[in-house]
Amino acid sequence: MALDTKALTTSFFNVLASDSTGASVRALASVIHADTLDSPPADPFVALRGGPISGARFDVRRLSFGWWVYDSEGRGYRRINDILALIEVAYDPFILTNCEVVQGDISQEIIDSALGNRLARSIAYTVLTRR
Amino acid sequence: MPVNDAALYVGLDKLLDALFTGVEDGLSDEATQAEAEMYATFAHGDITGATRASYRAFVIGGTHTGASEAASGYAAAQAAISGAIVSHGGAALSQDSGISLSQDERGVLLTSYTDYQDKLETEKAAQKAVLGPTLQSHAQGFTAAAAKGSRSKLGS
Repeated sequence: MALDTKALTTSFFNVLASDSTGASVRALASVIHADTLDSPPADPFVALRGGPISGARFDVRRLSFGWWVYDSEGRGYRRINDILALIEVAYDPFILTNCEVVQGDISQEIIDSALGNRLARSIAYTVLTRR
Repeated sequence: MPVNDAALYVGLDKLLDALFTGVEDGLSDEATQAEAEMYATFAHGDITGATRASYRAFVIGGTHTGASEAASGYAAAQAAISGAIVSHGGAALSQDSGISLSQDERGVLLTSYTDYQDKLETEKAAQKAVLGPTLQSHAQGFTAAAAKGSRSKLGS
C-alpha cells in the first residue's frame, strides 16, 4: 500500500478537530489548518502545519507535523500552555491505526508579528508508519 | 612478567581516530545533501536571495569550528542584500550558535546568516520555515550516516 499522505494528515488533524479525544482542546480553542491563517478564528486557536516526510517506501516513513497554538497579545502564555498540555493528552502514541505517534519538542515562546503580534508556541509530532 | 601497554594504547588511539574520521565523513555527506535541498527550496520566498545564498549545513566538533562556513555564509548574505534591487530592511548576521560540544562529540549545524531567519522559521505557523523542516527530514539520516561512516573506516 502506498503512503496516503492526505488520509494520514486528515486522521492526525481530526484527533483534535473532531475526535472525542480532542474535545478538551476544542473546548478552549478553535482547530484549523495553517493554510487558513490569513483569516484566523477568534483567539485562542491551534493550527496544524505539515512538515517533511522522510523514509523510503516500505521502510519506516516519518511524517512531521507541528501544532501551533496562538493567543492574543496581552493574554500571556497561560492559555497556550494549558492547551499544549491538553494536546499532549489527546495524542496517545497508538491513536492512529498502524502508526506510532511520537511527540517532539515544544518551542520557545514566540511573538508572531505576521499574525498581529499574537503569542505562540508549537509542539512537534512525528508519525511513524511502514507503507 | 613485564607488560608493555604502549602498543595497545597506540592502537586504541588509531581506532578512535578512524572512528571520528568516519563519523565526520558520514555527517559531512548527509550535510551536503541537506544543504543542496535548502538551496533548491522556494519555501522561504526570495526577495534579495540572501537566505538562499547563505544556507549552510556543516559538521561541527573536533577540529571543525565552522568558522570558514560562517565567513562564507555571512559574505554571501551581505553580497545578496547589498546587491539587491529591492530592500526588505534585513541584514546579514553572524553570531555564536551557543552550541558547545565536548571533545568526543560531533554534530551538524544547519543555519543561514541573516537577521530575519528566526522570523522565517516561526511566522504564520512556520509558513516559510526551511531549517527546521530540513533538520527534521534528515535527523534519522544524520544518525545513519555517522554509523555508516564509522563502519566504513573500521572496515566492518
